[in-house]
Amino acid sequence: MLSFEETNHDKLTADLSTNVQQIKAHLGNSSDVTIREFTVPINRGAVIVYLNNLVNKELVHSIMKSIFELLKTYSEKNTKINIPSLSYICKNLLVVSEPIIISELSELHNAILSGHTFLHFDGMAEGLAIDTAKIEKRNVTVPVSQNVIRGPQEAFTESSETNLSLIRKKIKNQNLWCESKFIGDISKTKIEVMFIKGIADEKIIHSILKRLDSIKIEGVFEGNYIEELIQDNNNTLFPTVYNTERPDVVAAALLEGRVSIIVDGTPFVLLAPALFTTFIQSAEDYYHKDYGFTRLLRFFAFFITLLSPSIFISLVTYHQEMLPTPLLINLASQRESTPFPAYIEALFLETVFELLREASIRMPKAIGSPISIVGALILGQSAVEAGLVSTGMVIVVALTAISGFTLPSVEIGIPIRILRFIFMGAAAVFGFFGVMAMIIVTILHLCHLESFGIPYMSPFAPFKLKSQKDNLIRMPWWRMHYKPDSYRRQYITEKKINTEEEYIKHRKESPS
Amino acid sequence: MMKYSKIIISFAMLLYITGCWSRHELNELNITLGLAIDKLNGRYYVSAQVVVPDALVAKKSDFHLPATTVEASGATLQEAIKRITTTTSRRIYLAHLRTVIISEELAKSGIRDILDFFSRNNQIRPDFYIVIAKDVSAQQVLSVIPRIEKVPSQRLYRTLQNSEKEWGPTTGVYLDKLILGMTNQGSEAVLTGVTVIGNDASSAGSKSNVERMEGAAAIQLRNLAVFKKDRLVGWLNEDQSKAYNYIMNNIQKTSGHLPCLNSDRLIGIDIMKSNTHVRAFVKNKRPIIHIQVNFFANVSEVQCPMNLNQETQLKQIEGEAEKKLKEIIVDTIDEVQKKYRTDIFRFGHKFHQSVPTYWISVKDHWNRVFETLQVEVSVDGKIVNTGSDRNSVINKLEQKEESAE
Repeated sequence: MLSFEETNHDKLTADLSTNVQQIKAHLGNSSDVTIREFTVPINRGAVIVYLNNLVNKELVHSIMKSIFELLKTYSEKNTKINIPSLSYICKNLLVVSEPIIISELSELHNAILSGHTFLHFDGMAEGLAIDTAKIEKRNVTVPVSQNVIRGPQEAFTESSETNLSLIRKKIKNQNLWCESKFIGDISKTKIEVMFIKGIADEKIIHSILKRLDSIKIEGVFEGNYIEELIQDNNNTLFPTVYNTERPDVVAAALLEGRVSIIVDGTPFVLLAPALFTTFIQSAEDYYHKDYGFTRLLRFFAFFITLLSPSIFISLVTYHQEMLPTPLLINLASQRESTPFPAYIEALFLETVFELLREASIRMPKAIGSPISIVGALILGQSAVEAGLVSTGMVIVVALTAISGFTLPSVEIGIPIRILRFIFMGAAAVFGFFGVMAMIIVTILHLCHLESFGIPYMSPFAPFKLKSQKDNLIRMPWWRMHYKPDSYRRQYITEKKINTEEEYIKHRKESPS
Repeated sequence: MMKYSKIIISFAMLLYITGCWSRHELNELNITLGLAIDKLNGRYYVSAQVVVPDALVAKKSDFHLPATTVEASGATLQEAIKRITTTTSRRIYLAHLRTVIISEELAKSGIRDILDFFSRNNQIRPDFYIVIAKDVSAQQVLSVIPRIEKVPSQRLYRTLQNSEKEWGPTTGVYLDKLILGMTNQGSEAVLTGVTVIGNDASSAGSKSNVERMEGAAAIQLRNLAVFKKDRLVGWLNEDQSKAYNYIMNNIQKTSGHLPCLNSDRLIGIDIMKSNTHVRAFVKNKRPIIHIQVNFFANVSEVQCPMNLNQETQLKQIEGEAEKKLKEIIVDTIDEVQKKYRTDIFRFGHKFHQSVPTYWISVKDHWNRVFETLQVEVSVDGKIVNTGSDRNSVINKLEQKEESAE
């Protein structure tokens, strides 16, 4: 009886009491299931089934009322004591949403579980499901993870309907199309795929839909479930799908020809394809008249946060000749009282910083600020005074941390943090030689990546002059009548992808 | 996948079995800012001045010596430097070397071994100054504790830099420039001399030297030492040193004086900018060097009654200045030609560049040609400024005296 598979093709029977028995058995007699049996004006038994907490009871009531009226007028007009066909009821019933005619029990379950009210008349092997869903949801609030000073201050919520409406509100165009899917064998989470027909590349849309269809998973509770299952390359730390809680970012991405995937239940909407530069650009770059100065700063910060500890380690343990003499002497005097090698010192401080960071996320807000004070003052200053670490190293690690926080996407921070430790190891063993070798390896890896067929490092590699308008810097809007076309068809090398089949073949062949 | 990860892991382990060769924490290094090299009975005596980082940045008021000198001797320089480790806990680190002081005796007997060592050593950058200790041993120069700068070698480095810029008769010579100057065809090298002055030179290396208001021992730069190949053959005096720098176009700023209107009083001249062109050519089969000096100067002092508002007076000063400069340049070249017979002005190099065919015919006996080389000097000066007071105070005073009478 208990089954999670969709292969349950049991049909509804014409007998009302059998159906009720079946429904009760399948839903385990759950306490939140309401099964209301009653008699309709044509003197026939009927039943409505709904989940207490998922439906708007007033709506259910009004539906019952209109059904009674409908059948009453019907029986007055027609002397035959017969019930009208379900399609007649569908056509004449006064409800907003289209009722669905249901004949299989599995369909019935899906409908009830997503807030529909099921209506069944005795003697019919079919029933009606009418949308009466009223699901509790949060109001639209200010974004928490992607703040801007100037720009829209609304964020997505957990409800995919709200999220869809927020996007629709921004792009009023008939070409904004939306396709829904239910993913998750048990959770049956609603996924909406949105794109602008004619701007988004057909192959990308096709490949996203196809990959979504091939997902096999029990439940989906956050966009990352989907992200990991549809990404191009699984052997990478770098994100190839972007996520955002900002409707304006999604709207802008749709205009660039990207596809958004809205997962019900999370305020983070996925955007694909996503390139390396996407993660360093911020929505605010387009809202201020600085033409990308802060964006350049962020690219600079990317290198600082990735490289500064390893460069510092290399300088003080291998390449002392590269420091100016007075600086060398200052650093040497700090070193006098530090017992550990510079690498261990950096490792210690970086670990402490990562711990603090993690702690400050997990901590309840009320004690979050004491933690940062403890971290900054006690650990920083006292560690120096206790002779555990040198002041120079504290400054370097602090600089690393600050630079890391300038990056608008949390996602890109993850590979940076992991790579930073690897770079530090390379610096400790080989100095600048090791750091350079690691940089080369990293760049090679980045150039090898693709996001839905688009080279991850474009428009740097392959270099596309036209797209530089909105890459490192942002040209003023009056210079961007023709939008950069990173995500458009031209970028996909024709050899690699023409169809999804070829794409899959290409993935299998490529050694990863 | 398993195979790949095994390969990757084994490579990663390989990395770590190398250890960290050539890795040195900062507190394992003796950061050496200066070296003093003396030679006695065929052995090199090397003193390395290393910083004491803690003392150098200490904020406390009590005085710590910010640097210390460690020394050892050896048959070769490298031996001597390595032997220093017997007296100190850290290895000598030469990449930040600022000054090398070579004793006069050693320089007289030739410094080619030293230059070879420094240019061969892969740790050393060639951007440090080399100076000659005059009248004192090299080690003595190194151990004079400065009162303003902290580390003696650093002080010497900055003194050279500054006096070269502001005063003129000294010239800072980096290792690479020195080697080029010695080894290039048709050129010889010079080095600046340095000595120790002060009433009480014996306490130069102790704390008491810093506590004296006056008369403390200090170092002083002394003119230029003339080299023939790698041997020191003599010294130029101050005027000659200045003339040398004029000819080599090294002068950035300097000061001089002129006699004032046939009296024994003086006019002070500040050279603000000087530019020299040396041309080499052959005329009637005779090699000729033509030196053209252009300078811009300010009048900085006037000790006699003179009205600088009058252009004739300025012209007169200009003329005097040109005449005097030409005189010292000609005298210097003459003395070097006659007395030292070494082409420190790099005239041969000029011929090599401008008249290569002629150079090939004389390069084997260039020194003899140099001794009798005809040199033409022309000087063109311009007084551009007379300071903020055009009419001199002395002039005003004398006018007042006249009116009082």
